[in-house]
Amino acid sequence: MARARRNLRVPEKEGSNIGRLIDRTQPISFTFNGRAMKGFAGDTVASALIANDVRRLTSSFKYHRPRGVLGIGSDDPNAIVEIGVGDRRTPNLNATQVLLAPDMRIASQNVWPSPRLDLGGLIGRLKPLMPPSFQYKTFKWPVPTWRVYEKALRTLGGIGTVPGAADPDRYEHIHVDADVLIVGGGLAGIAAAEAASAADLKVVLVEETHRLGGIADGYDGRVDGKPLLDWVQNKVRNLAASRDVHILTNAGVAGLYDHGLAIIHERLDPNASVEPENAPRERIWKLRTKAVILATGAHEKPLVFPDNDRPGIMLATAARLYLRRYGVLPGQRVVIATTGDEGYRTAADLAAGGAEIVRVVDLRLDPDGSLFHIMKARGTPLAVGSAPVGTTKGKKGELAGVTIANRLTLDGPALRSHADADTLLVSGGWGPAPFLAGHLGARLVFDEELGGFRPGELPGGLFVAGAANGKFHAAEVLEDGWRAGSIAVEHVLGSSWSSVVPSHSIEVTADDDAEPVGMLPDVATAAERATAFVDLQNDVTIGDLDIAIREGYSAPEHLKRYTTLGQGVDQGKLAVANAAMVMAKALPNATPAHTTFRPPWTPITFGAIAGTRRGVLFKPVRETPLTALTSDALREPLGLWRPPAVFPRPGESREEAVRREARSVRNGVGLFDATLGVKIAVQGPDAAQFLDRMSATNLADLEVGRSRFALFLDNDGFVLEDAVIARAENDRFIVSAGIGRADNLCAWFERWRQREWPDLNLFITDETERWGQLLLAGPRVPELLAAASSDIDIAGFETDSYAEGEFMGTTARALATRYTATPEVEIAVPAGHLPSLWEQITEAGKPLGITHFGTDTLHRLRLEGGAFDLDHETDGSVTPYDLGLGDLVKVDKPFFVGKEGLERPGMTRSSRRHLVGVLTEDPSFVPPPGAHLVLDPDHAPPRRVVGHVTSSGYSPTLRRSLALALISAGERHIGDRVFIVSSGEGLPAIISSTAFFSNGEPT
Amino acid sequence: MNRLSWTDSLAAPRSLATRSDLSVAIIEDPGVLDLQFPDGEYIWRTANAALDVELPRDPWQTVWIDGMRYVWTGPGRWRVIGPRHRIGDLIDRLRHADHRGAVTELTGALSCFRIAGSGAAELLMRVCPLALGPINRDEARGTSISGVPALIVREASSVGSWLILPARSYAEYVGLSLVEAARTPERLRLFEPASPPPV
Repeated sequence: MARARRNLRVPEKEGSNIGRLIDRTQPISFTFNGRAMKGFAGDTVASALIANDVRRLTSSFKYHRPRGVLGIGSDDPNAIVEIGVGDRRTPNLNATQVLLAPDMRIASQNVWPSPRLDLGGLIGRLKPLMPPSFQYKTFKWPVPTWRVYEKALRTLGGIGTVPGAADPDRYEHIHVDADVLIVGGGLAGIAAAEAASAADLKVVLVEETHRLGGIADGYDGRVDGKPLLDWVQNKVRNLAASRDVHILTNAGVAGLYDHGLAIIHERLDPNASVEPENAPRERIWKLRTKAVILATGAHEKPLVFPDNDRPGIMLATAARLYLRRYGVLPGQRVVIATTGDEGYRTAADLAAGGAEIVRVVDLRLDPDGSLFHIMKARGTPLAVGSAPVGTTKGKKGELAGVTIANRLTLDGPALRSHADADTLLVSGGWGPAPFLAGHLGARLVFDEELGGFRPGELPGGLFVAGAANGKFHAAEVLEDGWRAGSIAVEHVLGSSWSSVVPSHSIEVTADDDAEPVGMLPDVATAAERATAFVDLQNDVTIGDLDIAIREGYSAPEHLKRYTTLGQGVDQGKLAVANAAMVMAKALPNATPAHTTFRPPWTPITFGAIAGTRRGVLFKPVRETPLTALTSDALREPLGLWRPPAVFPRPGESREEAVRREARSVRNGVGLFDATLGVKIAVQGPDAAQFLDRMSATNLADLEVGRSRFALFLDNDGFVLEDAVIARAENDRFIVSAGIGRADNLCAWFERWRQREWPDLNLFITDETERWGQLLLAGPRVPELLAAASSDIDIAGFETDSYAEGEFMGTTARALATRYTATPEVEIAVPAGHLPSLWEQITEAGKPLGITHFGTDTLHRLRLEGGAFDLDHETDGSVTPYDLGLGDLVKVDKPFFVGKEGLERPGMTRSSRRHLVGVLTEDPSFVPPPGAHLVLDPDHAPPRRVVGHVTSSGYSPTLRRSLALALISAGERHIGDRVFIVSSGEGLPAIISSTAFFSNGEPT
Repeated sequence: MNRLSWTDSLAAPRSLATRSDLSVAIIEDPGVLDLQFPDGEYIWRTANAALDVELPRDPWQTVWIDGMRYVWTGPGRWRVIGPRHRIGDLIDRLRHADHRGAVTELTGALSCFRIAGSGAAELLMRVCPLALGPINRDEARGTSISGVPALIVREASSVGSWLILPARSYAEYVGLSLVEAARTPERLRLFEPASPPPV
């Protein structure tokens, strides 16, 4: 029978500080695992669930142990839930950080098959079979059973499930600059912001919750005569009114990066906007700043003892804050275990709220603080010098009782006692939390007295203040915040800055230091150590750490990976200090260290990371002026371009369209959008000399009005780029190169011009986008162009002619090329004229059967002509000689880029791979690019591979398949037989020259 | 076949997005001239005389005269941007000057967007990584817009007004990203007095 749910909301009391953040006049309905519940405006999901007596929130990752709310901030490792439905379902949200909203649907995660019945809990019984890293040693045998294992692991593994529908919300990124970033809106952050803004610096103050003040509301006292909270509110009001401070709440720093970059993740509520459909749900701030102050506070450390993970166990300060902020009690029968005075402060509050304090267990042997004496005087049951050594559970695994033992003698039943309780509040003292410093490579130093990590050496521009810096008393925190702000000012200004540290009269009870005694005593048995959890989110126990250390994994990074300590979404925020203490005990000669903290510090959504980069904005797409006119084409990505690959007619397959287009070009005239081709102007008195040095090909004797195919090599002598160089004027050249390579080639030219030859008088201009370019190919091109008005005598063009002039009323260039082994000409006009040119040429070409063709067809035509394609036939390790283009290399030039590399002996050895043709014996078989070539297909593996296919296709002109391949010593094996390995078979082929086709005839 | 007509990028000019404090529009493809001259006082004065303007010599400064904007884009480098029909005249003037450099017409290479209004800077912050504060009126920068290289110019208007000039092939993508950035209805109100958050 289900346990009756209690109402743990404390009634409103006039004059009390209970429930100050909720508005009891605005009730909110929501569901949890399908059950209807109620909360109030101002509640978080966690506080609303606690108020409804929800003890078990979810199941743990590995053992599916029931877990409840532990803390009140992003450090809580357990309160991970799923919220929403359908396309707005978001997994892995921390219930402590999400404000309750009307009709919210909240669900547990990691429960299978349902929250009420989690069969995954049976896994916990197999715990002895699942030591750390068991997954690396199992699931391997027998091999065929892996499929069974995999299915089970996929079902049981992970936390949360990805929504099945596309996210309908908007996300955006924003770039901001400021002088100082302050992370954390508690007392230290507020003081730092005051200090920095006093110097008129621009300050961004970021707070991950929706409110400022940190945990100041967990304490009573006065500052400057005002109640502490009122004093904080006044400070916040002043900061908000300042033109030098921008406050972001519901915003966490996801990462800190070099050069002052911080990524801030802000959560917004589109429903609060006047246009919810346009308002972003989350925003990433890319903030560049000159100084960063971490005022990130401290984490209250859990205690580590057997079965310290049951639902009902909570951090003591968190419980106090739940009461003060949301008016909820964590339970009704409460045991508090503490290593410092925080436990007593919580006991006082909870008692005032109506909870029964069953016992306060103080692990210190001789506490002497004022709060201890106050609670003792009130008759609070105390157990000094004692520790929790176990818990008992109820029917659903929730806490039912606590076993307490005297610390001095922990064996022997006489010195143990048991307390029935539904709640255990634990406080292991405060561990500073400056972990974001790790993003910038800073290593934190373990403080044994504190039992936590402090900042060590910090990179320039990074400062730490307040509890994150090991200061816990209000007076120290305020002073430290102001100090950090002042130092940050000096860092930004680059000079000293005198500021008067404000003095405050502070009447807040100072606690005695907590003792770092939260670890299990050495006498604990192996079974007890195996249930004493250090990392709650990943189910890592002291026993797991023992095993890892025993197996030789003593470095923190190894321990992390072997046990998964700190690998959860919380990155072990509440585990890191305790884990260091465990390791310090086990490895007394080693210096306690932490693992590397990485962005994002707390989980952020993929939507936030993507921002607006989704759909059509996923990545930039480049378009030619003809995109709108070629909408009937099938497109293929080529870098950022998506040029037409082919223009299929209705009912045509892609291959059929390619063959049709190729035949049309060979027999008539084809029209191709060549705008993507690179066009670089190199001009000046030394332009000829420059290009001659850059290219392996001789360009010195290139005449005006002519062009030449040339090769550019890299420093090592390998082919970098091929281009057609046209000499427009004596000192002006146009370099036309491959599609989409303008930026790289320009950069290559500029690198040599500026670094090696700054004395050369020349200028390099990328003209690619200025010109729209068409390629007209086929025997009927002259016929087509006869009707065009032009002062360029295109009809009189020879191969490699180049001319500039006027074409159809506009500035134009024409170049006779030989890309496709047919008569062809490239015509370039200013880009805005291209659509008109395309339309008029198409119309004029209709009587001639003009065909639009795309890159697929271009490649096929070039293949027929045996022409190499830089992307297919080269891979950065191919020389001109390998391609059979040795005659393009002017070896007796005194210098060209790559000459030295090309002259290395290995570059001309006979066994190098040469580009040759491959003709399959079955003319209909087209070998796939990449297919290996062998001499003996029947040889047992490993077979010696002599080459591979680089390009292939069916030639509609020659009516058979063609292929190019790079084959060892290929040129010496023309006519020899070779076998193409395809689908496990060796298919026979003949090595041929690449000149498959010339002047319309097969060669 | 007839004389060729000009097609502007994205069917300019037209408005792409409008809000009460912001307008995003694409304007006609500008005429563009790329000037590269050797360093030196003589060359600079020669070019100035030919163009009847004093070319800016400080990084990213611009001069706006008679409808043409002259933008410093590097040592000895300028871009001239203005109505297309005016470019030919400038080329003619420079043809006979002893500038010893390179004058290259790039009309058609750039498209041009204008974002204007008090919300213009905040829109730019969504697409441009540069710190905008240090950019004064009549200054330009080479930067990126949503990852696309672009020249931006802060115009002299009293209300925020910026020109964004990416390469023509990126016009569609830049246009879409500006329209997307203009969707957010509420302003950020950076470093403005605001209501305090709860404590």
